[in-house]
Amino acid sequence: MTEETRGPAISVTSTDEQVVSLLAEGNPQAIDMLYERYGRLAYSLAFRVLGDGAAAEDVVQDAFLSVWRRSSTFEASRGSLRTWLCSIVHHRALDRLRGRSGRARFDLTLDKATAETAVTDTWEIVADALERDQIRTALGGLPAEQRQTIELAYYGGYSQSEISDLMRVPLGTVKGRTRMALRKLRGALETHGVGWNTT
Amino acid sequence: MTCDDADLLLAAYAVGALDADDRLPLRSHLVDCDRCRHEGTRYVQAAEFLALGVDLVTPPPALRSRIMARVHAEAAGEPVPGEPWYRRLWSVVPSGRGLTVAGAGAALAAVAAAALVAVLLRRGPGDATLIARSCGLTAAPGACATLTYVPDARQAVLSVDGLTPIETVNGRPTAMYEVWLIRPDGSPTAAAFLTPTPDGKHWTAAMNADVSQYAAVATTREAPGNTDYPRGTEVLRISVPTP
Repeated sequence: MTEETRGPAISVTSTDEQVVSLLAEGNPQAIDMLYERYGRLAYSLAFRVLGDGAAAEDVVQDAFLSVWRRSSTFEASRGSLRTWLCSIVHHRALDRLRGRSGRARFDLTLDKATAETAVTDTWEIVADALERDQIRTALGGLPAEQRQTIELAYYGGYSQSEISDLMRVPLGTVKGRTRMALRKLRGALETHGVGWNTT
Repeated sequence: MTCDDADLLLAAYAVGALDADDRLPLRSHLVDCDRCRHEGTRYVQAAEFLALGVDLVTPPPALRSRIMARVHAEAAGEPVPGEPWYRRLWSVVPSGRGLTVAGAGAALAAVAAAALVAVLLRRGPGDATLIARSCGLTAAPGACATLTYVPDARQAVLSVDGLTPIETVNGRPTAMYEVWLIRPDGSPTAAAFLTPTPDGKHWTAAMNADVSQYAAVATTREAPGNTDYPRGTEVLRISVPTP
């Protein structure tokens, strides 16, 4: 005798628009659809940062619940669901890391106007345009010191001062490398025909 | 702070590396600088590239069930404290033991059952360390059960929702739900009978047994009277997680 899975069928071809629509209605199926679309990515990101399956599960669960609780605040015009979700997962994973060392997270409210220009689902396009190996190629194409700098920050949860100590370079150098790395990544996206309207 | 200074810090913020000392100055600058807020958003979007570059790892199937159980509970207005004890219990279910997604009704039932177990056990959250859930066998597609085990007390509680009510004739039940502990070799041991709560919606059975020594806990619908071997229809089965 086997366990059966019940409940509404989830279409793998569901779109972010459908998810957003259901979120706006407060329909729990929105979260199931969101998980279907990005659960693996969310878990992979959390796992990459934390290196611990149980901790990654906690982070992903918190992130999805956060999306659910804040669903009424999501505005599709301000960016993609995936960007939103990844940002939450990343922040919470860093929280988890820093919780062990007493560090705290810092949130900024960034530009609504800019995001409103990104009316297309940028990352949806990226996903279509770039295969994962292409993404890695782009990352691998960064100068080693730039790639290491942003990897220590993004995946390792280190602050710029800590990276400065780790890499034994001046703080200003770390800041410059971080900015340059992100600009190059952005350029890589634009090279593949994906850019942001910067008006 | 100049816009160039802020630009450097925004890149750091995007990858989560902003130093504590830089937070307030940056925040203050952004209040009045549309251009930097604009640029900050672009850095954040670029940083997402790093998320997309990670090796994909498949999450445990139970994770989705846990998330959806919480979402359904909150959607239904169930009180959900910051960190309910049963969530911590769910987190110990090994990844290889999938919890089935059972839709809104079943998920709600499971959460309700977990809460009921909490009441029954009247124990602190640290005492119970093993829990599993199962829903929807063919014979009872609406049923959903939660098994909680307290090692120190060697006590387990099975809590079930969605079972078909037992009819009575002249005040006597026409059937009963019997709980079995299933050994790793598949042989059953009679453990308890499920009893309904007064409203008839929930069923529970307490077992004084070390369920961790068994492979599963099953429930069958049996004719009235004690029986030492399952002869009726199996309506539920829960795999016992490895502690």
